[in-house]
Amino acid sequence: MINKDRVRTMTRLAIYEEGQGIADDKMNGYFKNDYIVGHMVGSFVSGTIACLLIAFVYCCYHYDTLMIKLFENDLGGLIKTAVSLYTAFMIFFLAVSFFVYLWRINAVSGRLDRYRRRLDHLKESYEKEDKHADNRF
Amino acid sequence: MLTTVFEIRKKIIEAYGQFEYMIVPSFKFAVAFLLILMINDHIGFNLGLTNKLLGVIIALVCSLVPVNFIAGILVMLVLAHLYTLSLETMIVAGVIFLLMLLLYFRFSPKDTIMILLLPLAFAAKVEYAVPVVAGLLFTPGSAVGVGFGVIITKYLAYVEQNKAALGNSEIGPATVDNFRNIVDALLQNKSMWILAGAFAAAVVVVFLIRRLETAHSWTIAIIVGSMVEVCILLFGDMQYDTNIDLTKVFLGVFLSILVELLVEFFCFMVDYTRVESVQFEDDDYYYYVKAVPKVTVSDSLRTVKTISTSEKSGAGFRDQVSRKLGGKSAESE
Repeated sequence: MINKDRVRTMTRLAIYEEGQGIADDKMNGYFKNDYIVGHMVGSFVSGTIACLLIAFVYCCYHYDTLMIKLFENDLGGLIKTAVSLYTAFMIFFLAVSFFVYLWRINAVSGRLDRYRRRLDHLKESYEKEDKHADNRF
Repeated sequence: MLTTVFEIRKKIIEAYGQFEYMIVPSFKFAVAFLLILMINDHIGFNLGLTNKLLGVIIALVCSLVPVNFIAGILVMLVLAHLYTLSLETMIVAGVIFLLMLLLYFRFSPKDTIMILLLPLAFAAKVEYAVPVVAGLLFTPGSAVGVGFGVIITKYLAYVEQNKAALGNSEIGPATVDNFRNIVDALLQNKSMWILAGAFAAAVVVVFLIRRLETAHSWTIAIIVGSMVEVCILLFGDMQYDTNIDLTKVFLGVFLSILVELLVEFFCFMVDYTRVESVQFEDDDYYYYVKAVPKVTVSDSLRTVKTISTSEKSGAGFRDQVSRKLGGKSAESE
């Protein structure tokens, strides 16, 4: 007779293995700190490029004023403001990145724990069946 | 009546499961082709790219690749058209796309479909449905994606309206002036910022409400989310005089609510009349569980009669019938 509970568990295991499990398996290869730090480095690069893009738009927009300031050698104040804004933005962006990736790796551990529990449940089910068969003989 | 509706729903979901391998590529093809037609119709400045056959080929390619690639292909198409008009329009669009890629899609690459559907929703006058559906199906992070989607859609609309003025520059001092005008127009477009803000707020509000443990949380989220959109648009109109057409807004919100209810019907249909609350314990915890059953309909019963013309089997069938009827029909024969 078909063991419905076992079929249900195996189906859930198969769905996870063929879907979200593939991505989770890749992420599981990292230590938690390595994963977060690695992605924060990526976020730092992305954030810096984004800031450079905004700076490029700002420079194009204020082209005339910037040229005058450059000739007058009066760019100190502007550079100070730009660096402050960049620092503030990067602190915010890296903080967001940290929480996003922390939440993501924790979610993966949760899913993998559930997957392992289901595997244990399946194993127990087979062991129970074997024991039952041994007792009959 | 309601049972018939649920049966149809079940059949549609089953058919989707059965033919998913055909439905998903067809859906991607349809979305990509419609978007290409819209792009060519509104900002089709490069006549070589407006060829319908080329559009079909690009859409066919899009039907085979992941959604993020579709977005990438369409971005290239938009940039090519804008470059034909002028360098500065392309640079501004490129900066918006790059900022979106660098700051947002790093975290949430699964929301691309919402941004692709936003221009189509604008064309179908159901744009208010997009943030609510994003809040129902995705995370609050979708607020950023939907906001970017509004900015891109409105920017392209601005380019289309001002193509004559934007296209008359050659590279030189006029380019910088043109660039300045575009950035000014973008930053001073208050109706665009208010709409983006209303959509972003709606995504967050809908997400928070639909996760509440109250009954009918999805329906409440839909109604409150739509109200948030209308309230922010009205407030923005009063505060910044954006001259929004209230009739259009209310009609659009009404149509959008219909779309949102349809999404709820297919994605979250539970029976609150059969809620079960159970309480149990194990070694470590007490559990208070509230289980809300999904709406299910059993398959309609079908009676299959086997009618055979042969005498022997015919007699057998007659015997079976007579046995069921207590021998009455056999006696009458």
